[in-house]
Amino acid sequence: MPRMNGIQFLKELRGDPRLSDSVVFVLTTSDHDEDKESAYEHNVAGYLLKSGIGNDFMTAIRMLDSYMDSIQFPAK
Amino acid sequence: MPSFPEVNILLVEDDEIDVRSVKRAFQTQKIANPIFQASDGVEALEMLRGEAGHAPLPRPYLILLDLKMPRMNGIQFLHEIRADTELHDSIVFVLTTSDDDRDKVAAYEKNVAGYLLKQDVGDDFMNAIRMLDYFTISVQFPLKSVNAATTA
Repeated sequence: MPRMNGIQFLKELRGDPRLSDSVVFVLTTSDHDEDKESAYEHNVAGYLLKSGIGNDFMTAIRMLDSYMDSIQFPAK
Repeated sequence: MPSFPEVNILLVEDDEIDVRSVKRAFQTQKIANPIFQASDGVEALEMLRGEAGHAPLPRPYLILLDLKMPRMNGIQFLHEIRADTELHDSIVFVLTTSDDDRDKVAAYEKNVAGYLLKQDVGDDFMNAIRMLDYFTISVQFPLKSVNAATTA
């Protein structure tokens, strides 16, 4: 993304005490190991590939739906 | 649907009945991921680090973490793992009976991937396990930490 990419955003987010507990899923076309490692260094919940064609992408979306139904979010 | 390579599940749980419930739920859903068990945070760290006679748990793995355990509880374990240069990128889901908001806040402050309640009975619990199955097949897992020694 222009101006601020995802990893820069993650750094900012994790550095902000009001926002650092946010749950983040990466959704990207990048299949590069360095990007995955960087994302997990900032403790994303999961890293999803956009380029997964058809069924793979639907599985990811289904997972996110199921995730929002099952996960307890903090009320604060 | 098999994932490749297969994601190991490290279940950090001291209650044998709960261990059996989780294993049964995985079997019912025909989820075949290997399940490793540690009875508390100390043992879990030994298994992750390859200490005390354990071979290190191979990546990719996902940790299912109970909060109330002897010796080292879940939040203490999270503190240790996030401070460990080799392990701090680990994906952790809390699986606990605690509905206490303070525990949820503490867990998310340590950037858990999610917080699941064990006592969601029947369908809710199955949904949670199904979600974990979808998660292991759709997510790209970290195969090495940025700080891990590079292999030849």
